[in-house]
Amino acid sequence: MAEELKRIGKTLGESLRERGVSRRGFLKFCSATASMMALPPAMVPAIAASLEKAKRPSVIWLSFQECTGCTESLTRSHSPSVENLIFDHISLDYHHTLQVASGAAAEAAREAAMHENEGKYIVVVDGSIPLGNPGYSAIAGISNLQMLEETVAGAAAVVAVGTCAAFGGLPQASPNPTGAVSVSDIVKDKPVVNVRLSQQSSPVYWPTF
Amino acid sequence: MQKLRDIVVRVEERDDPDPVINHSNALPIMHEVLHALKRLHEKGETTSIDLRSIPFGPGDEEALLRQLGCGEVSIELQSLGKSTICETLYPGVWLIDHYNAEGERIALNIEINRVPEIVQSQPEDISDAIIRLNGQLNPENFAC
Repeated sequence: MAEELKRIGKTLGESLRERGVSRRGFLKFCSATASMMALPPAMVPAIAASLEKAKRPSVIWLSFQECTGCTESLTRSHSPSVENLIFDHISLDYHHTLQVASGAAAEAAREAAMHENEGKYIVVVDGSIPLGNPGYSAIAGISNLQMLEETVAGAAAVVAVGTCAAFGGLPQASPNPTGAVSVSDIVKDKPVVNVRLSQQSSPVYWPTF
Repeated sequence: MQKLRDIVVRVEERDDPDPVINHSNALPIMHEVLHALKRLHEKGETTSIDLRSIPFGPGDEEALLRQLGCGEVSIELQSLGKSTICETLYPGVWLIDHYNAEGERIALNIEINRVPEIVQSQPEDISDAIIRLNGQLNPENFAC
C-alpha cells in the first residue's frame, strides 16, 4: 500500500521513464494524441510539458442510464490498454463493472476516494440521469441524481463520456419516459468535458484525464 | 421518363495522373511546405503539418507522398511501435509516419526541420544514459 501511494506521488514523466519509455516514445505519444484530438502539431510541446508534470489523478466512474458500451470500448482499447490506463495513468477508485468490491465495500471505496482527494479527483459519467422518478435508476439505494450531486461536490472536473452522458442520448429520445438529462444539465459549477461519441477508446480518455 | 441507364456518363482521362496540380488538396499542402521551407532557411523556424487533420480527397494523399518522394536519409524508430522517418526529395522536408505496437498508423506528419525533433537525442534520455553508463563503469556509485 505504501509502495502504491509512493507510485501515485510520481509524475507521469517519472513513471514512464521508470518503466523504460524513452523521451522519444513519449513525444511520439504526444504527437499521436495531438493528431487524434485534432490539435495543431505546434501544441505537441505544450502537451508534452503538461503531461510530463501530471500525476495520476483519482477517478470515480459513475454509470447511470447506459448500455455499458463506453466501458466495453474502454476494456478493448489497445494503446494504452485498460491495464496501463488504470495502473499507470489514473487511479480508478470506483467503477461498478470493473471493481472487485460490491455493495457497502464499493460505496466505501467511492467515499474514501472523495475524502482523500477532496477537490482533486475526476468524476467520469457514462449514461444519462433520470429525473422523472428516483426509482428508475438507483445504485446502493441512492438515486443517480443524488449520487452525481454528492460525488461531483468535491470533484475538480467532470468528464461526460458517450452521447448519453453528454447529451441525454437514447434514453432522452422522445417520449423520454424517464425524464433523462445530460450531466451538463445538472452540473453547473464544475468544468464538464463532453467526450461526445459513445464507445470511445481509451486513447481519447487518457489525454482527457 | 428518363431511366438511370439513359443518363450518359463520360469518363475523362487525365493526360498525366501524377502531377500534384491534378489533386485538389495536395497542391496547397505543397505550397505550405514551400513557405515553411523558406522560413526554415531564412529564420530557422520549424514547422509541422499533421496530414491526418487535412480533409484529403481520394488520391490526394497518395499524390502528395508521391510528389515528396524519399530522399537520402531514412530512419526507423522503435519506440512504442515502429516509426519511419525519411527525408523527402526536398532536403529539410521530412515525412514522419508513426505506428503503434499493433502496426496501426497513429500519426502522419510532415516536419520542416534540419533534423526532426524526435530523431534528436532528448535531454531526459541523455540524463538517464549518464546514470546508466556511470553505473556500469562504477557499480559502487550506482549502488548509492
